[in-house]
Amino acid sequence: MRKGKKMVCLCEDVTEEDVERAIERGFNNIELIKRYAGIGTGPCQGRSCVPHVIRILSKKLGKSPDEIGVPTPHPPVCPVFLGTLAAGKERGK
Amino acid sequence: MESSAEVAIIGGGVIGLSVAHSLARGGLNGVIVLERGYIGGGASTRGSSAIKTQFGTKENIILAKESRKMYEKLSRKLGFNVLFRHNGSLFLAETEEEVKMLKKNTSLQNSLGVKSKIMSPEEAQEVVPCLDPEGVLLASYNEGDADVHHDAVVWAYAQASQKLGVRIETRTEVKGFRLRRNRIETILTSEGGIKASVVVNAAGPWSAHVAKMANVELPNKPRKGEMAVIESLKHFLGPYIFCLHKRLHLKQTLRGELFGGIDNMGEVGQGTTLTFVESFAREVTRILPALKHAAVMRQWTGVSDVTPDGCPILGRTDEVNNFIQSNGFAEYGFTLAPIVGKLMAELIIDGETSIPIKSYSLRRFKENKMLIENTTLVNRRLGHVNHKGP
Repeated sequence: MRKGKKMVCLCEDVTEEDVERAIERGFNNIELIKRYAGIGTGPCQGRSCVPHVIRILSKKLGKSPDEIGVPTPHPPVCPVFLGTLAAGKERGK
Repeated sequence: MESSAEVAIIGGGVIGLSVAHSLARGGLNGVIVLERGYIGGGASTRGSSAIKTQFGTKENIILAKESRKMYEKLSRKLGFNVLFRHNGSLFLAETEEEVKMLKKNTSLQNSLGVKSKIMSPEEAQEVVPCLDPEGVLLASYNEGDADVHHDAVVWAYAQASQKLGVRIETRTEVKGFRLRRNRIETILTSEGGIKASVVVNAAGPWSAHVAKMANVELPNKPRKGEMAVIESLKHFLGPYIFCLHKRLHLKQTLRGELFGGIDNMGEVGQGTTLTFVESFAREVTRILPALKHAAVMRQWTGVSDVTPDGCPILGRTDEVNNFIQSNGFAEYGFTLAPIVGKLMAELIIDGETSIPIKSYSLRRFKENKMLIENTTLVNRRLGHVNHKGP
């Protein structure tokens, strides 16, 4: 299989090769790769891509997945419509 | 381990890195940047990085105008695409006080050659077709204002500086100073001591904390902002929008995501809140009702560095001769970074600056010569604004 076709992140269209290139350019931790390549920032918020990025980083840097870590998680757990969030009463009123 | 540097810059954010790059380009050897975490990890990459000229202070307008010009050429100069584009900026006023402010600011900008214009709500709707003009009394628009990718700018400055010999030490926290006869002799860091001839305080929200270790009192206070990103949509929003009343700001990125926040959300250290994301959703859907079916994907917080008059502190410190301040940029450190880097380098290398920075001195708070940046101060919950200076 051609390496360039191994998809890591379907939301942001990032391949395994893209991640490897990011690491080679010095973006060699998971927070930096997130900002450089956009992994973990699409609608899945990292659920499908982050494990792959950890695997690639772990292999490339010779570190254990625990040492690689995960990007800081941010709410909400899943995407929420603005209309839903806006529908509640104003807090403290 | 003890090392030495000609100039040590505390803070690896956009300001510190821009100063470092200008110093190195000016031919200075021995520049070191000390960053507690990772580069850009403080306020620099948590805000909206709008390159705007719509300010209310003469001094800020002059710097912002120069800075925007420098941004136009930044990608080429640094050899790194920072995704610069002229997307414009649109300020919205919803009270009589804000209307007065926008009119005053716009005529001041015009008198200084910045081509912002006052618009009726209907004209603003022509710029942003899905804007609900209900509630908007007046708008001001600047077509030439711009946008960049904040991470790209930070990396571009860092890489270009390193190529010119600047040392960037991350995960290196300043713990104190060894002072001698009104000078900083050695910076004590988590990784050892560093002797430096000149020390620049570009620590953003941590500037007052850093200054205090050298017995210098800064009036700066950290303020918390919260932001959220909304899923990618087909491009529909041109300018950066700033809604004065709730201090809501919003832009659409090149990827189509909407990136926005409210920059006066309570106390620092609280983390992300549901209160924020609910008010954000209410405000966004109020001005752009069509967005009620768009989803919020992620929210985060940031901290900015605000002085009592909303303007930065630039220049030498009376009490400590070799200590230079470059902080207090509130939410617009990104806007001014290129010009501030240039001016700080001129101050350090030549001893004088091509644009006067005297009115930005720390001394102004003691001499009661405060500048007033109304776009930073309006509708802000800034407890210390009504208090006297330090």
